[in-house]
Amino acid sequence: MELEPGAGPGSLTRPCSKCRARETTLESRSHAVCKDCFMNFVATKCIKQIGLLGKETRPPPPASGGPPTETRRYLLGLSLGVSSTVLLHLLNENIEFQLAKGRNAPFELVVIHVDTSLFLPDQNGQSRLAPALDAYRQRYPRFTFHCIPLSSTLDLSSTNPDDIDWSSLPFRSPFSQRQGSSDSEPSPPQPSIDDTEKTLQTLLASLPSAASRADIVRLLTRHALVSQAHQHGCQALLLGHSTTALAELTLAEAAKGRGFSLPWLVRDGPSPTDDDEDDDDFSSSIPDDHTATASVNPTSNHAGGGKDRGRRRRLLIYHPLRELQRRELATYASLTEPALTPLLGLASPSLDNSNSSNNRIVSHKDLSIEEVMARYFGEVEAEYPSVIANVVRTAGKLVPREVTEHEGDNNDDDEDDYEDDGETAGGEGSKKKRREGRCGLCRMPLDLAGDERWRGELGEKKEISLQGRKGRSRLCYGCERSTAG
Amino acid sequence: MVSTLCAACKTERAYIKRPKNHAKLCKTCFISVFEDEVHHTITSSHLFYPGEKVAIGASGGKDSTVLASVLKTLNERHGYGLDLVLLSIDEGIKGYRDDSLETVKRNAVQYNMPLKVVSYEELYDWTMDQVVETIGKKGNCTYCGVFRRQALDRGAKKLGIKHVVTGHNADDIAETVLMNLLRGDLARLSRSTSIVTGDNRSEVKRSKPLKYSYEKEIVLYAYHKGLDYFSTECIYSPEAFRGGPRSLIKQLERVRPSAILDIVRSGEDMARLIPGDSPSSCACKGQTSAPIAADEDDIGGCGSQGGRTSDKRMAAIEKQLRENEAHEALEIDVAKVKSGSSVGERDKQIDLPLRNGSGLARGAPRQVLGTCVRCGYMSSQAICQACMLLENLNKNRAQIQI
Ligand SMILES: [Zn+2]
Ligand SMILES: [Zn+2]
Ligand SMILES: [Zn+2]
Ligand SMILES: [Zn+2]
Repeated sequence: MELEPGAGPGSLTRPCSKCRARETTLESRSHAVCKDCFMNFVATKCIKQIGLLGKETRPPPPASGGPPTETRRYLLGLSLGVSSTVLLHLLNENIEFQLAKGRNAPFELVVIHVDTSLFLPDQNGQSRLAPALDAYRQRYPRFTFHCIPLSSTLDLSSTNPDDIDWSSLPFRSPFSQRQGSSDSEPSPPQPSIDDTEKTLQTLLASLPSAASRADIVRLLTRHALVSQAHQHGCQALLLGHSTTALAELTLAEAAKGRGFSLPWLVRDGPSPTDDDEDDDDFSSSIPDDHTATASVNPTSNHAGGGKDRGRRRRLLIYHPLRELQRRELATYASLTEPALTPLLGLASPSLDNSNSSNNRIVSHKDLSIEEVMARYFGEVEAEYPSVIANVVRTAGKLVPREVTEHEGDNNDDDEDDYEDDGETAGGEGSKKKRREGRCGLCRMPLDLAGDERWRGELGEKKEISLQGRKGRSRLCYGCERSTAG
Repeated sequence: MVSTLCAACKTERAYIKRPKNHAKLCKTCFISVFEDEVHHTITSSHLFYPGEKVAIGASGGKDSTVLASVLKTLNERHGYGLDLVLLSIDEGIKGYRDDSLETVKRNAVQYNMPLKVVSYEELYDWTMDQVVETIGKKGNCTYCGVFRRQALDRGAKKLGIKHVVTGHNADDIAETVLMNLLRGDLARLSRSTSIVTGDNRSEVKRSKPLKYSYEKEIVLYAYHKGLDYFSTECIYSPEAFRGGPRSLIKQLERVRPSAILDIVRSGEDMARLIPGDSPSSCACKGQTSAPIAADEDDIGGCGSQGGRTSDKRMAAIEKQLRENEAHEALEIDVAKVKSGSSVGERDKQIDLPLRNGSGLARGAPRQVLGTCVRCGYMSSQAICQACMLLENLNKNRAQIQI
């Protein structure tokens, strides 16, 4: 309801409880507020997080002194859903605000959409993607938008500890022959994009259920974004998750047996696949034990790193909308000028599942765990907002575990590797160990103690193998559940 | 439909599809697999020692009846050397306990186990019927649950028994995991996933041998073994559990049968990630018994209801959380927004959300356990919940008498 022009503050029928200067048009967190105050409220919640991130990613002052010359660079995962679109809009606004004040843009932004349309049943065809992205480009000309196929994660020959170890998957894969049995064989030539898409489709089709497919697609999407962030030299990956989405994620991951790696997913901070000894690029100047030890090594570990994919900048993963509810973001999207709503209709969401499933009736065997959670939280969001916020807060209190002890070995012994492995090119050994300590699929630290304790409780003769297949990475409990036939 | 052969023996016709993993089994194999899994749980967690006297909390319902039957079977088969006793609580609900107590009495004969019945009346001077007369039907399940929790321990103590086993199943544990995530209670989450509870100071330890057994399989087991159990749910607990975690768990189970166990696994793992908690990861190696969590959780109101939570419970949590929020510092003042929205200016912000696994994490408050000054039962407050409730009840009774 728009205010009559000329109406002074004194004649307001229901003044905004925040500014008292304008008419109330909506209710936000039990406060009757005007549109402006609501929009500000949303922006502040986001900018607060961006500010925290800005501090974490402050470029080092140049050796010659003076102000930093480097710019912060972030990557935004754009699912084309409400949340990530609102985040994009807010980031754009923030830059415009700074520029209008005569300051430099606070950061550069690379926008990536991971195309999962081939792999999820409720996606609109790929054909709608290009026009949708064009509309985004038109509205936000400042940013570069990229569309990356999900199959970009399918690098079969990679030995990078951060990449997926496709050979760790238990199902018969279409490339198992090409892969060969010997690890020392030269890697096969990279297939064309079309081939890779088909390969990934076959792979996903061989998963036991729709729930498994959704889980793995979510995981690959995240993986693609992390890897894009590295490739674009970004210091942070920004994800559009609302409080509601993070609460859903928390419960969904718990329901998929991924409680152990959950803290890595819901908190803001370093990516779990970060290499400890490489994080001196952008972090504080205080050396911890690892960097101190690493610097004993020949500097080759540092020099020439530009082309070495194993040496990366530290990547932070942030959720700037973590304090906002999904329905608040939907309201926000309808109130911007012009509204974001038309953009949202152009393609269906894929990253955060927002309103992807609430109104569909489908059989249970076609549902994913994420969809069950989305339905549940769709029902409880309005009634129990504090419960939802509390889930996220609680999950954030859990302390993520690093790669766990492996028969007496643990992270603290990393320095031994440098000695043991001697010449092997700056820590190949510890790279291998990192790979071994992580799940072959989700790349999260393995929980060896938990797996040991759990054996037999599944009521299956086939126990989770503690060793993994010969020479292959092991899978974590959650990935084992999603890929087991 | 073409008949399939049992996946285990490959000779009999399979006509049970296991809810746990959809394996197709014949009746005999299902029963033996179910028992083997409970045996695995018992041995891998070192739940018992030879010669131990163990009280089975028996309500006459399916969970505790199956527990009694399986324990009797395993005790004989594997020579546990346990001295098993049925311990039943008489809440004093006419028409409910009358029948279920009859069931327990028959069980005692069927399993050839001694039965001890302890009543709320003798423990607390109140029957549940009297409680309902005084406070109405609303909230009485709280009383029932709190009283029951102590009743088993007090009953066991009277019998000189230091170990009570209860029929909590995987669905119950999964529900409390989700429940405690929803209400943000990590200490309770940790306790509820622990197979053994009760701390060193407590005289009675509790354990849950059916912790990994699916409710649906418990029903199947009871059915195929022809067990005699009482199936009516508590008449004072008409609340449906729609909207609560229980319904969520049932939906998840339909989508992926392993979800219930997956939640239990997640709960156990998350319990090890709670800051300040010593990692008690492995129950089966290097320890004489499973890690013991302090205090009993709050699973369930009424006994036969297991841990079923209702809409009302969610609403209560929401209310509590909002009250907490109100006490905390006010949210960012929306009116002040515009001025401070630059990255640079915000640099002064403290309390980074960036944590690195070590001491920076904000710890969940650990509960300090002591004993109730009135009854001596272990409690995190000076006066335990049961004594608080009793005080409330007695006040009401006094008023009525005046
Ligand atoms: Zn206002
Ligand atoms: Zn994994
Ligand atoms: Zn059989
Ligand atoms: Zn007391």
